[in-house]
Amino acid sequence: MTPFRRLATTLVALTVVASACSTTSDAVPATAKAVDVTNWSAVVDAARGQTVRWYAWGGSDAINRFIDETYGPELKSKYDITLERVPVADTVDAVNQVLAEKSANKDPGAVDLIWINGENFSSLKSADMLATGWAEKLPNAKLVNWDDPAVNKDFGVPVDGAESPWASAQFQLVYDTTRTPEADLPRSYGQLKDWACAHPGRFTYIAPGAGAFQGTRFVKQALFELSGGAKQWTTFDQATWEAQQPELWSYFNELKPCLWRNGETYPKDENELHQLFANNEVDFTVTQAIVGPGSLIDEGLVPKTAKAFTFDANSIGDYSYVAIPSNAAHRAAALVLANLILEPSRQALQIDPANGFGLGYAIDTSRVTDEATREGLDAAAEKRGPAAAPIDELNRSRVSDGAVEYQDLVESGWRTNVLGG
Amino acid sequence: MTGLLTIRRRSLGQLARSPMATTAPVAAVVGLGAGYALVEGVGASFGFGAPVAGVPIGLDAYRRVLASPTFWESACFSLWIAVASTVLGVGGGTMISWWWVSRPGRIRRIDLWLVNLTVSIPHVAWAVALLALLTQSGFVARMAAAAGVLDRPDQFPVFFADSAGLGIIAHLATKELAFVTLVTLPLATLRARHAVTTAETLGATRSQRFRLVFLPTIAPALLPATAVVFAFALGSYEAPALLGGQRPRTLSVVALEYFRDSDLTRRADAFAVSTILGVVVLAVVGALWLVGRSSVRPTRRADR
Repeated sequence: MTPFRRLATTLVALTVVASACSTTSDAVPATAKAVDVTNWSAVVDAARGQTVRWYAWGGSDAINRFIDETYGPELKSKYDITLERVPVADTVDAVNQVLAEKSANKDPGAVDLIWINGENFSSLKSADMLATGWAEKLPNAKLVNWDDPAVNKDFGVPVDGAESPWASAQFQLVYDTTRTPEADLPRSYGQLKDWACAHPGRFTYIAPGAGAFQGTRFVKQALFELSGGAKQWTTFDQATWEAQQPELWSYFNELKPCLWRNGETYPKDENELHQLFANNEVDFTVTQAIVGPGSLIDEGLVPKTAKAFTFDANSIGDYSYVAIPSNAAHRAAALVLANLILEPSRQALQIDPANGFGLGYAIDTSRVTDEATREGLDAAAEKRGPAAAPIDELNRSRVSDGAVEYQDLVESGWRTNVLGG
Repeated sequence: MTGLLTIRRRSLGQLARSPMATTAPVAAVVGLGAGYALVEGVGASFGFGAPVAGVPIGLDAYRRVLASPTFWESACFSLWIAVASTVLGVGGGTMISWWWVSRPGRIRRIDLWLVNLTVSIPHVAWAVALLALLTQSGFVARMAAAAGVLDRPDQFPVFFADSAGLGIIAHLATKELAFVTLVTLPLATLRARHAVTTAETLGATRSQRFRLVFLPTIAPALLPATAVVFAFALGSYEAPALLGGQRPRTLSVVALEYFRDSDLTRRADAFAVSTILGVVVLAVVGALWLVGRSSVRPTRRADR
């Protein structure tokens, strides 16, 4: 390259970078942000004409379409709000955007709403960058069972009204009905080890770590089973952890030689595990969707004969949420959207696998007073499709996640004792 | 008086044509962005501008990082990958240049085009292409299984996510080889070809022509290219992230993992790892510069 072309290329590259940085939303008078969520009609008035920028994981075309079609037209026609979905490769990118705005003192910021849960919620909350105290005051919040610790705590972190639930999910395994007869499926971690060693190289799991919560969850559930249940793990106690962890690591080290590639390496995320499963290298993958692998089948990521199942106990269920950054430019519109998400009509759409989302209800259907609506919700829940695990199986095995402190202990412990051991 | 003016005029003209001046616009533009990032990054490694309260200013992050076995394992792995891919890339690139010089006739368009193409393919695309071809789920494995060469595609040999980093090295070496070829090409064709032919007519053997004529002639381009290639390999992220396994991981991968940790105090660790990487790169580039100064200069003088 000549110096001139090099200079030109550099300039072009810098322009691209600079333009990416400057996606600031239009400045909003500070008064617009001081919305009182208890005065709902004022919120709706303030939101009129706003554009709500919703940062959401954009890795699934089906989910992207679901968001655009389920919320976009409704927001426009009913509230005159424009929905702008901003796809991110990983939710942590949205978190970093907000944190960068914080260090640059940028208020209002670019992010109005984030699809969030777990670690990302915990980091934004610790950075004091979330609007708090609004979620339980939304009109539709009365449909949510806020007394349920699975709702009012997220990965063990108190929600404090800083995020409003969107959908429920639960850890499940996925098998191929043409490869593995249902009767042979392992139903506990004990049985899983026997199965894996009887079928060497045909099982693996996602390496626990940041950005791979399914792997962490898989290991945590083993901890629950080996220690006799999930209950004791809902509050943090270092001594309990110290007492139980050797047994956990010896379980995984005994499992290791039976794993895919002898446990020398592990898939780093869900997609990699799906690929191994689809390529017939391993016999199980995982899903969090209440409808099972239905949308994965539609996207062609796993075979059509794939089906979800759970172990008999200790399958971690939780919620994903939407949160509003404290520097959001369009807080009123974000509140309206968070409320719309809880609307029974929208909730009924999200559970139908045909709509591409396939996660469960955030609302407690028994709190819906209108009988026809409630029946509609129950009927929608029945239509989860042939790939879904039986609903009683899901309900029977569901437990809440452990306290947030265990997250890091499990991840770093696994790295030292299993991967490095 | 006149003399002074002449000197000044000449020195101004020289200054304008000096490498310093010709690269100044680029350096200024890049320097602003990179310089700002550098200051921010190094500052963050000392705890400045932390997103959460309670991060002390000081060397805590360095202490934590240097005490962690992960860091040392990753440092060794990163160095191994950087050295191996630099040796292969620089060696391969030099050999291609040598082959072009020692072959009669002009360089064919298609050869040049292939080299240019390899340089211009983005690293991510190159890595994904290698994955799509050469993993157990890859094209070659599936074809081999379909053709009956393998019983199952997963019997295909393991090149990626291995503990030796073979896939990463293959990726970097192939990209760097093309880069080195391209950088040494002007000196090789404009000066070395003539010198090599002259040496040949004077009776120099093939090995003498390579060692005593070709290598010293391209050295002014080869040494900076080696520095660039090494620096890139040591800090590169895409290839190790896509083609590497869970253990060991390169420092670049570890740094980003720390940066994205939900525990925001770990961000300082991420910047400490990056700063250490930067210092290592500077040290190696400095060493190569010293080598270059002592070995390249005499050749230049001899050339004149």
